[in-house]
Amino acid sequence: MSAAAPPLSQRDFARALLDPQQPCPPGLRSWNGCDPAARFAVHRNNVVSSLV
Amino acid sequence: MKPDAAVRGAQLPVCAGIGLKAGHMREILDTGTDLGFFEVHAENYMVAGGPLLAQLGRIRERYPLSIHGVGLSIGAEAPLDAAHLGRLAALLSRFEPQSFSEHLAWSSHGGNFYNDLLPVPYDRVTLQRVCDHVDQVQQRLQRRLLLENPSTYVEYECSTMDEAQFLSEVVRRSGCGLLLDVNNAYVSAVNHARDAQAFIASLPLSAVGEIHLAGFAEDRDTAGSRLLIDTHGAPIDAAVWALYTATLRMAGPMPTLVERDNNLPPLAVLCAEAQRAERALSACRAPVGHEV
Repeated sequence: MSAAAPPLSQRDFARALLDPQQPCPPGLRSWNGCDPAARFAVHRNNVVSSLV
Repeated sequence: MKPDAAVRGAQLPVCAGIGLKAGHMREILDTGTDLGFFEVHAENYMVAGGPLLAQLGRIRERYPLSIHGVGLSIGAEAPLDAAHLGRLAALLSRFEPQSFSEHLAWSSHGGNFYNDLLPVPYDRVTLQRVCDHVDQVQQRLQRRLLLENPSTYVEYECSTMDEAQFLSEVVRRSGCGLLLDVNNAYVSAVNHARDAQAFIASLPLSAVGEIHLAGFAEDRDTAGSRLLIDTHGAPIDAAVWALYTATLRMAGPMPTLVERDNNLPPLAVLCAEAQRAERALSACRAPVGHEV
């Protein structure tokens, strides 16, 4: 691995967690190059379901 | 099972246990269920008093205990919550468990608790912060922490090392131990198209103080690739049992916990999974050619 991308802050990660209208925050990736939004949604689901 | 025959210092006995659930407590206390140890989530017992603490006290009189934290947020950018650490210290002082563990993850930010174990980037800045937090926890609690490898679904573009390198460095710098969650290792390996056994082999296995086994759910990402989700809501998968056996061959017999937090089955079902783990431990101890 090589250093490249700027770090994604926990503030931006957390903000996107709580607002499903927001896109998946930049700075995340998936091994097969697909949109990481579906994977980020696992965390959104965990957080939102805990609030119900 | 004879836990005291295999105790290593103040550690858990080298046998199989299960996560202790309130719904099973009465049956366990009434029947004296034959298990090596129990594990509880620390945060469920951060109460001033009442029947739950009293019941856990009775369990602790009869069985070794592991206390497993889920809310310390060791990977957080913010400082650790001193009040939470204080509650942990009080709990550990009260029950004197054989093991205390937490996660390589964050769950709090800006005063909010997210009730999920969120991933950290594997870079130098995060490494230093996690080591500082582990140092602080071990100083405050005056005991060795076992740090658990996470299930992850996304990776950070800013990571500069892999998970095994990161965990190895945390162990080397802080002196903490590892809680090797074999299900998490499998889930993360599938989710990032890696070799789970190679991941485990590259960890400092002499630092492992406990193994976790659990079940996952399966989904697909938008490209159709397998996406495994660590739910603790299903039986342990055959692939995880196989990885567990391979892990025992590499690391030797280890205290092993069967975790189930959702879709809770009858106690007997969890005990059967613990017995399967116990057979794997026995096979690991047996001379070659005597595997069960």
